[in-house]
Amino acid sequence: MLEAILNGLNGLVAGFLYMHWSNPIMIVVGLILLYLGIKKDIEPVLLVPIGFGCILVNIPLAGLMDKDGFLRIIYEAGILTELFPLLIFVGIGAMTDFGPLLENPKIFLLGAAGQFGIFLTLALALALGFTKLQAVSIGIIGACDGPTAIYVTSKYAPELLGAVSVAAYCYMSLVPIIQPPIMRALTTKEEKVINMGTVKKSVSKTTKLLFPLVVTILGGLIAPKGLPLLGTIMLGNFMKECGVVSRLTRASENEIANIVTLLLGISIGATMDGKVFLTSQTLIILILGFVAICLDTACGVMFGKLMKVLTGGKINPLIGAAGISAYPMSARVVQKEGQKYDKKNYLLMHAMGANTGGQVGSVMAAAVMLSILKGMGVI
Amino acid sequence: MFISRYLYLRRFTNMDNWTFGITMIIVGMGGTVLTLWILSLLMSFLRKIFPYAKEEK
Repeated sequence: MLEAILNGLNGLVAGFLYMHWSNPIMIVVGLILLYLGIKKDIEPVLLVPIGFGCILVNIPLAGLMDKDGFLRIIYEAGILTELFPLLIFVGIGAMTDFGPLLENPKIFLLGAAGQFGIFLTLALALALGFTKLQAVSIGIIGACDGPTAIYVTSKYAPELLGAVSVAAYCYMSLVPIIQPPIMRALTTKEEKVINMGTVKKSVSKTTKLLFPLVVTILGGLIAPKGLPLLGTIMLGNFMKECGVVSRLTRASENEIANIVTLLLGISIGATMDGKVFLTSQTLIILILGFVAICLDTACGVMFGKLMKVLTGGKINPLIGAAGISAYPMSARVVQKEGQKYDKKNYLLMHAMGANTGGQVGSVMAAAVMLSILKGMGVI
Repeated sequence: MFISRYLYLRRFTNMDNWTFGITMIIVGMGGTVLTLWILSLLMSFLRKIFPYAKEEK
């Protein structure tokens, strides 16, 4: 009788007894993510489910990530199949207006320069001893694009998914803090006050409609391995621009994006089991992610300076910093920074052009990278 | 033919990290810039073929 009671009580304290030293730390990490999302408003729609998923998976014996655990089922259905990031991309495409970019297509090049951090960080990760595919996944944090980072990492280095996703989303939201000092350091006062005039809004509907088709076909032919990424973002944009499927467009940018974001967040959180997450490797990934975004910004601004010279001073190099995928945060940072030096300088729409260029650029950089890997036989 | 392709790819698969990193930097950065440059040219071309008409407002 007494033994039965003791066994029963033992069942109630087993959760505490089986706790690994890393589990309480990760529960605190989960709480910090929740705090950042709720109190600091840092990407709350992602950090809240990620933080909660992190807490759930660090409670021992619940088996949420075991074979039949509900988090494992979601993870296998949406992350391992790469379905969630792709569905999010349809929503992103439906939400994005590429008009400012099409006003001045030259700005596309800033979207390419803003991705240089990906490749430089990849080399840095290799030098630090990561494997080739792990280095690719770490470098992709520099895309400043959560779904792209998740897509590439889940496919080629799933063991790093938690660290890479958290780094990608956290740094993306820290863009207003990370970018300004780099922008200030790399530009002169004369460059900061260059006035680029106003955006005319003179792109025809046909051009806007053809843009996603051209990007899909040409991009797909150049980098076929990245076509899922390119195709989904451009499908969303095509639906928005064609104007005859407004129900689908609304569903993509609202219901589908919301449901998938919830499932994506909670399953990323589920990869943050303390036993595998709390390693020196995670810390290095977080540092490399930070370096990647700094390099993106620096390369973007430097490329902006080059374009300023080539266009005879018509381009303000500050907008180069917006050539990353953190939309529209990065463009707002440029506008704010420009107005510190000249209150009448409105760089916002030009920076929006570079920013949307950065969105296409990040997807294109990932696509190019995957196709090179395929070409070299690495994947 | 398949064997020679296999051996050709195997050379790359076994490449050292240094070669891999430099290749990714050159071809990756170059490929991204080149692709986006071509796209920017195409979009400029499309804007010329389909100019904005005032009635579209």
